Formats: sequence, C-alpha cells, structure tokens
Amino acid sequence: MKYTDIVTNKKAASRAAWAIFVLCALIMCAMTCSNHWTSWVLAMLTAHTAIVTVLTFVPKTVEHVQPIVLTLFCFSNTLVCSIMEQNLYPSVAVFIGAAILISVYKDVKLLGIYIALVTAGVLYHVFWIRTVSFGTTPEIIEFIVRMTVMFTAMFFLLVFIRSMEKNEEALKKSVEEAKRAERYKSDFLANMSHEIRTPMNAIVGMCELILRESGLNESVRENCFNIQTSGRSLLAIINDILDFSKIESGKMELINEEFNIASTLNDVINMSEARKGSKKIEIFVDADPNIPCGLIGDEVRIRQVIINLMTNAIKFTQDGSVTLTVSQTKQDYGINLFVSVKDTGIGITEENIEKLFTSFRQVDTKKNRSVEGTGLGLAISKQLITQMGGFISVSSEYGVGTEFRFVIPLEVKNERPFASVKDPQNIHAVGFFCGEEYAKLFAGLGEKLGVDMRCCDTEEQLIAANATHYFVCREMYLRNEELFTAAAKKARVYVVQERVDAISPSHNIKCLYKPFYSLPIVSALNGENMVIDMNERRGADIRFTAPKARVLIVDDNPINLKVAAGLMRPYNMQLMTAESGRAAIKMLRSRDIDLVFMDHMMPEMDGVETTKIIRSMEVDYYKKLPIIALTANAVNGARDMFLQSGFNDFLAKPIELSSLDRVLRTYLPKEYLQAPKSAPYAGHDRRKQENAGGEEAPMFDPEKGISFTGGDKDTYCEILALYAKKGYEKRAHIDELFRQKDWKNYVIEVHALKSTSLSIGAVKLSELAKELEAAGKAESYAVIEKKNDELLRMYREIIGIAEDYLKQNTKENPQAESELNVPDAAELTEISPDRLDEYISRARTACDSFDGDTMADIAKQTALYSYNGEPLKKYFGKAAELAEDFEYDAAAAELERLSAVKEGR
Amino acid sequence: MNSIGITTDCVCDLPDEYLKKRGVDVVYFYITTGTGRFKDGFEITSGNVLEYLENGGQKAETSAPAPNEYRMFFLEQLKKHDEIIHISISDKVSASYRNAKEALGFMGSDGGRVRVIDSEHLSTGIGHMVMMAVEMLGEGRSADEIEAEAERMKKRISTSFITMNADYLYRNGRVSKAVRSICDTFMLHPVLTLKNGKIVLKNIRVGNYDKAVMRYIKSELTRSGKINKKRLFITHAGCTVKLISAVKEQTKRFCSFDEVIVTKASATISSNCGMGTVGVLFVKEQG
Repeated sequence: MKYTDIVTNKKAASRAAWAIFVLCALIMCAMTCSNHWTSWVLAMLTAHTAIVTVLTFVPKTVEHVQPIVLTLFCFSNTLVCSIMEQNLYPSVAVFIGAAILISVYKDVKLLGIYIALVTAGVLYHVFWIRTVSFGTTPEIIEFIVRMTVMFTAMFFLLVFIRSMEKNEEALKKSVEEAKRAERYKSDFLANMSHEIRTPMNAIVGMCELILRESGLNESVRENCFNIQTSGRSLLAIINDILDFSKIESGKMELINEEFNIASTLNDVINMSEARKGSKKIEIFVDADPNIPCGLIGDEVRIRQVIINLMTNAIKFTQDGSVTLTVSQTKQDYGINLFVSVKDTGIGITEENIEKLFTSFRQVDTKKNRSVEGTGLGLAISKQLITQMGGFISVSSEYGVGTEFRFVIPLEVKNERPFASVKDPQNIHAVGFFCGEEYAKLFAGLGEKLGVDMRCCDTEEQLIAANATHYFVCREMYLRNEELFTAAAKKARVYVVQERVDAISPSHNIKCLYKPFYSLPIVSALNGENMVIDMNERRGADIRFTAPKARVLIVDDNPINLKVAAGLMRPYNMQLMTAESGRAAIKMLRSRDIDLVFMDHMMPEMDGVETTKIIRSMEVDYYKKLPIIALTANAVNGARDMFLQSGFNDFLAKPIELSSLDRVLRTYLPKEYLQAPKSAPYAGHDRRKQENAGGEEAPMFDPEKGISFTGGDKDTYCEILALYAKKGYEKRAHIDELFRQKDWKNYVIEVHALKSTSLSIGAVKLSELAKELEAAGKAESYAVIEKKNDELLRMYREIIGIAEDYLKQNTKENPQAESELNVPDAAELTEISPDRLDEYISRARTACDSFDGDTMADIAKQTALYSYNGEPLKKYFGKAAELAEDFEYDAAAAELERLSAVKEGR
Repeated sequence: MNSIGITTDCVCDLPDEYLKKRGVDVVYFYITTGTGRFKDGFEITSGNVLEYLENGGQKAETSAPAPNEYRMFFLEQLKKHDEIIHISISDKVSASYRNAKEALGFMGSDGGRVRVIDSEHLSTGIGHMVMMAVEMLGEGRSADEIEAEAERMKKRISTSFITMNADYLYRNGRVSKAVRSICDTFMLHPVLTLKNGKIVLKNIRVGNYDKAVMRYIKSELTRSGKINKKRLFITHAGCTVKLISAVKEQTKRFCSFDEVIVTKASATISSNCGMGTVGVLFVKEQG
C-alpha cells in the first residue's frame, strides 16, 4: 500500500463522514422547524455544519481535528434532539447511526470517546432530566433491552474497528518491511555487483594482455577471446544491475556538462557496428547536422540510453534495417533533443507494450529465447530519461517492427552546428543509390546543410547532373565503373560501401564507409581526411612497424579504445590505454611515452583540459610530447581550435588507416620506424583470423615450423636465423636467374625454397614455390613470369617476419638486431667511395625502373655504413621510404643530395 | 485541376498510418511540463503525459501553435498544393482556430489559398470531418463542396467522453474543486459532450467505472437518434487493452458499424480529460 493510498483513504473517509453529518443536520433543521423547537437549535446546527465543512475542505487544517469535532457535534446534536423530544428512546437509533458514522474513521479512541459521551447522555436522561420512566416492569425491561442493544452494537463496532486497526497496522508493518527489504536488496545488489566487477575487470584485462602476446596457439587465442567476450557481457550485466540499484535507491546523480553530440554519435555508431557483427542488417543514421555542438547534459547517460536502444534493436532484428534518427527542436531554454531508434525486427504486441518498461522483464520470452539480456535496460533507460526531464515512448507492430523514441530538454552552450559545409553555394552533390532510404537521407541532409544535394535514378540523369561531388553505392558503381572513372576526372567521386569486403575502385575515386551519415558526408564535402583515397587504401597494408614506440590512447569509451588499439596493433607498437584525462596524466608522469592520442570529449576532464595540464608541466618533455586529438567534430576550423589548445594535430573519428598512417609517420621518432611487413602472427587482425577459418594457409606459422624442426624451439630459431641470414642473398639469386631466364637453375632454387620455407612454417611461400617449380618443370614459363614478383615479395616479407620473430624470441640475436635497428654512428663502418658510387648507381637504376623492393634492399644493406661520419641510412632510408610512396622523383633527389655530399659540394 | 491539400491539428487523434498514407499533414500542439515544452504526438505521447501527471508531475499545460507557426506550416503546404483546407479544433475549446485565421493575415495573397474550418469538435470528432474531406477529395470534389459539406457535417457529429473522475477537469480549470470533491466522494463519472463547439456536461454516471463505461456506450448508441453506421471511433486515454476490448464488444451489441477504429487520444486531449477516459464518436444521419 502506498502512502498516497492511505492519505486518499483518509480523505475519502472524512468526506463521507461530512456528507452524512450534513444530511443529518439538514433533517434536524427540518425537525426544528416543523416541531417548533427553540431557535438556538437552528443556529447551533448551522454553526456545527459550517465548522465541520471548513475542517473537511479547507486544506492545511490539523488532520485529527475534524474527526474529533465531528464526533462531539454528532453527540451534541443527537442529545439536543432527544432533550427536545423529552424522549431518550428515539435517540437510541440515532446514537447507533452516529457510532457507525464515527467508525468510518477507523479510530478506536474516537469511538471510545463517543460511547462515553452516549453513556453520559443516557445517565443525564435517567438521573437529571428523568425522561425515562421505570414505573412498571415492562418499562424497566424495555429500558434494559434498548440499552443492551445499543451498547452491544457499539461494543461490536469497537471490536470490529479494533481488529481493522490491527490489520492495518500489520499491513503498514509489512509495507515497511517490504520497503526495507527492497532497500537491503538494492544495497546488496550494488555491493555484490561492485565486488564482482573488480575481479571481472581483472579477468577481461588479463585476457587482453594474453591476446596481445605473439606466437599464441590458435585454440588458446580463441579460448581466450571467448573468455574475454563472455567477461565483457557479464560486466555489462553487472553494470546494468549497479545502475538499476542506484536508480532505485535514488542515488543516481546526473552530471550535466558541455558535450558534443557528434562525439556521442560516433561512439554509438562504433558500438552498434560492433554489436551488428555479421548480421545482415543495415544501419541507417539520420542525424541533423544543425544540432548545436555545445549542449549541456549528462552525455554518458544519454549515450548509454541510445546504445541500449540500438543494442535492443540490433538484437531483435534478424534482417532488414535499424534506423537511428537524431534531431532537434529549438526552444527558449535551448533545444529538445529527439532520438528515435526504429527497427524492422519482430515487433511487440500491444499487451506486451504495457509491460515493456517494467524491471526484470523481457517480453515474449518464448519467441526470444535465443536473445540474452536481463530485462533491465529499458527500465534503466526510462528512469534516466525521466530524471533528465524527458519522455520515452514506444510504438510497435507485431511482426513488422518497433520504434523507440525519446526526447530530452537540453540547454545550449555553443550554438554552432556540429557539422557544417565550408562552401555550400559552390557544392552540387549528386547521390546514386539502390535503396530509397539512402536517397531520402541524402536529400534531407542537403536541405539541412543548405547544400544542393539530390539523387538520380538513372545514369543519364547522373551524366547530365554535372555535379561537384558524386556519392554512389557500391552496387551502382560496379554496374558502370567507366562512367564513374570518367566523372572522377572532373569531380569528386565517393563509393559508399561496407567495411567488410570493401572493393577498391579505380584511380581518383574515394571511398566512404557505412553508416553513411552527416559526419562523413560533411567531411567529404569539405575535402577532409576522414575519406579514404582508394589508392592509399591499396597501399594501406601496414608500411612500417614501430616496436619501440610507446603510444598512449586516451578515451573514456572502452569500445573506442578497443577500435583505436585494434587499428594500431598492426604497427606493432607498445600500446597503452587510459580511460580518463586524469589517468592519462598519471601514466605520463610514470612512463616514457612517445605519442598520445587524446579523445576530445571526455567526462570530468576533457581532452583540451588534459592537454593544457600536460603542457603546463615543468619538464620540457611534456611541452614537446606529440598529442593528437581524436574528435568527431567536423566543424570548420576544428584543426585551428585544437592547435591553439596545445594539440599537435587531430584525427577525425572514425579513425581511418590512411590518416593514422600519416600521423604516425609524422610524429613518431623516425628511428623507430622499421621495414614494412605484414604481421601474421603478432598484431594480426583478429577479424581476419576469424574470417580465415582455416581456408587459406597462413603466411607464417611458427608452431608448424617448430613441429617440423623436431619440436625444439631453440633449434627452430637457429634454423630460422640461418633462413633469414641467407634469405636476401637467395632472393637476389632467384631474381637474377629469373632475369636471365635460366629456368633450369630457377627450378632448382625454387625447389630448395619450397622445402626450407615449409620447414620454418612459411606454408604459403612454400606452396607458391611448389607451384612455380611445377610450372618450370612443365615449361609453363608464362606462369613463372606472372607469379615471380609475388614470390619475391612474399619471400621478402617472410624474411622480415622471421627477423621480428627472432628478435622477440631469442635473448641475443645480433644478426637480426643489426639489420633491424640503426646502430649509433660510432658503430657504423666507413664505406669506400667506390662502393658508395656502386650503391648510388644501383639505387638510381632502381629509381628509374620504379623498383621499390630493390630500393628497400639497398637501404637495408647500407644501413650499417657511414660516409665521412654521416650514416647512409639517412639518405638511402629516406629514398626507400619515398619510393615506397611512389615518389620516385623525390627519392632520386635524395640520392642526388647524397652524391653532392660525397663530392663535397 | 487545382491540387487541394487537407490539413488538420494533431488533436484530431487519427492514426499516424492513416495520416501518412493519405498525405494529411498536421500542426503540432504543445505540452509544457515542469521540465520543458514538447510537441504533442511527436515528442510526447498521451501515455507520457498521463504517467507524468499520475506520478506527481506538477503541471502539463497545453497550448496551440502560434500564428507564425501556422503561417510557416501553410506556406510549406502551399509548396505542395494550390489550395489548402485546414480543419481546426473547436474555436471555443482552443485558440488554434483564431491563430490559424490570424496567420492567414500575414500571408498576403497566399492567405487566400487557405481555408480554415472551425470543426466545432475535438479529437476524432475532427477526425470524422477530416476523413470525409479526404474521401470527397478522392471523389474529385471541389474545395467549395468540401467546405460546404464540412459545415453541414459539424452538426451531425457526436463527440462525447466519459471520464473516470473530475481530477483532470479540475486541474485544467474546467470544473471547481467542490465539483471534483463531490465526484470523488460519490464515485461520479462525468460524461462530457461538444455542443455548439463548447464542452458541456451531458450526463453523470455513478458507481463502478467499467460498468459506468458500458452504460455510457449503451446510452450513446441507443439514445442518439439515427446513427450513420459507416464509421465509429473509440478514442481513449490510458485505458487497458482489456477495457477497450470490452468497449468494442459493447458497441457491437447495440450498433453494427462498417468500420470501428480504435485510437489513442493525443497528449493534449489526455492531459485535459485524464487516465481512463473513453469516448465513442460517430456521425448521425441527416434530418
């Protein structure tokens, strides 16, 4: 029973008693007039009625006064009536009636007082005014019977009320106990969740550390990954329980701070993409770019609600789409932020909608048996939205889909839109998409941005459009590649596609990844680096590693940290993460970091504030430390703002590999950057591993190598060292034989390569060598000519991987070390002028024939030499790097500089 | 032939799917709570506002769109149509009709292309009129004919509601505190109706609410003269699925309609009549 119910019951009782009292008073008034009683009776009745009415209806009167006053008036009115009639007996019925009326209050004391008053009244009649006659026996019996009936009735009323009162007390006690138990339950849940969370964090963290280790057995890796995934799911449930108990006990406090919705959206989309996984559903995002970039609210909780709704939508949708809409309506106090998540999932019946926001409930449990969840998410979301002063609602059609929508009023600190186009009047963008949904989103966005953006239905319309920007979906692009290649000569062309299985469009055509929404579109229209050039993408396979580099990533969102760390893992750097500005500062004080990636928007201490604190530290190191802002802010002038705030540069979210590559190349110490390699065993993309599914032979499998070499790791390392040492020479020899078309010896060499490669676990290379050996024997030289380059490239990669493996798995490996790192100038050998000439000449030839591989080889071979004290790595290394970027002119210029140094010019 | 657009106020309580399908655009009313100002039907629903008030929410004031909003709305509509017929909530219930009329004055010559009709009803009472207009439009009737029919039809629409108590009517100043107290004390359920555009007390039902609702339906369907059986709206605010099923059964018992449409009252209507309100709205035959 709620307190409000008790209050309502009391109110109803007092009003009912008032109504009966007034009715009785009116009857008495009529009796007074008809029986000609004295006039003061009328005045008394009027006064009584007025007083009782005031006490009943005027608020703030003392709660217990009305029943007492009404009881007294009831008694006095009855007594007056009996006195006037000079007869006690007619009053007996009235006394009982009044007692029943008073019992409405369910107050034993009150009824007791009334019975006492009635007794006094009877005595008054019997002994004072003597209206009762005891002259005959029947008169005496009549008196005794009447009094017995009256007092027995009153006694039963008293007993009845007493038992009611007891029941009510017991009920109240039960309610109190239930409330206390509820409180204990919430406290227990909160404590227990906290206690579980701490070791769970450790389990998840340890798994991450194990997964980062190289050379892990596949099954161990998979098991560890499963433990981590399950641990994260459990942590999410625990967090839900914690939140729920906080809300229930009224301890949930909102922290209203300035935030940028663009950052929130980016986080939500990252998370949703991760949740979507391999499900064949499309995520559409329709975000109004005019939403102000500086809003005041609890961003963490807003994000939590949106993520919860998106997660639910993805969970309950097997095919079709999930559409996230974010819009605003301007208000005097700021804006109403409106968010809608619509899916094409299983839907909810009308009966179940009524139960939807109830705690611990998952509707339609039979149908959704395969779907996990505590049923707390929506209850938490609703409480959070209500606490923010907003409203959440749901509409659904069973079997068709569901839409959750919420609105929250927010103040605005910075009116600037979160995304805007630099030069809207000079942009004319055209979209060419398959589905209606994209066309609708595209045209709508154009309206909001004030840019001419429209969709074409046919290729003829597209040709006639003469646009500055073309956005085309992958399917349309593939239908007529030539058309878009031609268009790319005059305008910017973007292919919109999924990350997974992305295609590489032809030259000059750029690529935008889904979800296709305002942020990446605005970046594309502004020509910013969020967009990937497909030519860059082709070469975006990692072009260098930096095992010595220590990189710190700071972001409050663990998923963002995971995404960023995942992107950086192939660079083989030492990655550290911090979930707050404070934690980052602490880490920087105790560790030597080379580069920091800092999220712009973080609760408590944001990226700008953290950077200012770092820059204000005394030691010079903190002033020079490169700090790169991570931001979803696509507003013009963002770069200037970040530079002014002490950042060295900024990377737009979602982070693209080409941009990351540029930043790492620019800000990491040059001496840390090492030769390119693919990293099949360390820093291997987990998704790639999962997708591989054993269908394709791995590039390098040390486990297999160890088993082929007798199961002893040390023996394996010795063989591997020999393989790596002889590798460059062998590779050059094979190349030489190929150039001379000496097929007989070529076959002998690739035969040897086949067996040695297999023995070290380079299965793929071994298979390729086997294929070329067979081709040589069958005199199918065209196959050799076609695949020799691939063989040489793969051979070089394997040598690099072997060197890395040796470096990480042997205590001392001077050979590998000398080849991987540049020794101090004092340790370098002085090269003779003739030998240097020879290298320069070879490098020039390589430059002329656009041979990046030979350039890289020369750079490696000359890394141990110096000329007049100047390390040759400085020139050949730079030239090789430029050649790798296809900048052969610049590489030739670098060689020219070295010649000038040699000539003393 | 000129293209004619039918528009109305969001308080017409017609289902969203119908409005979308027939291209009937609506102007949003507003609900102002202690925390903000929200668009009825878009940002806040009937369920939201009722729950807010039931859980001790301080206020939920309703307001009609300002003249400028009407102006913007009409100008937007005129981009799609040559002429607009806007069917508004009763002038005697809300300021929206006056605001819409005022907006026409700011629109210059464009104002002449918009006709604003005072429906003299609310909720699906307006809905009946809108559906009639859409149907006539489909038959290729002119704006004059539609307007004339709407004028005739307003007298034949029966818009009535039974409310669980007088709490919400008191909150919105429609009845005094004393009336509310009497209704509470004696379990009285007011039945309200629209008469010449004004909300008036038609009847009072006593006792158990579910039974009172059934008696109200019986009375409405048996004592309203000859009823046009084409369409009936059952419009409610915060009623359970069980009660609405019972209401549907009860209507079948007394009158068989070709189409029975169950709709939820808008937040504006709900915040004025309260949780548990049910109405059966129909059109009477001519004469």
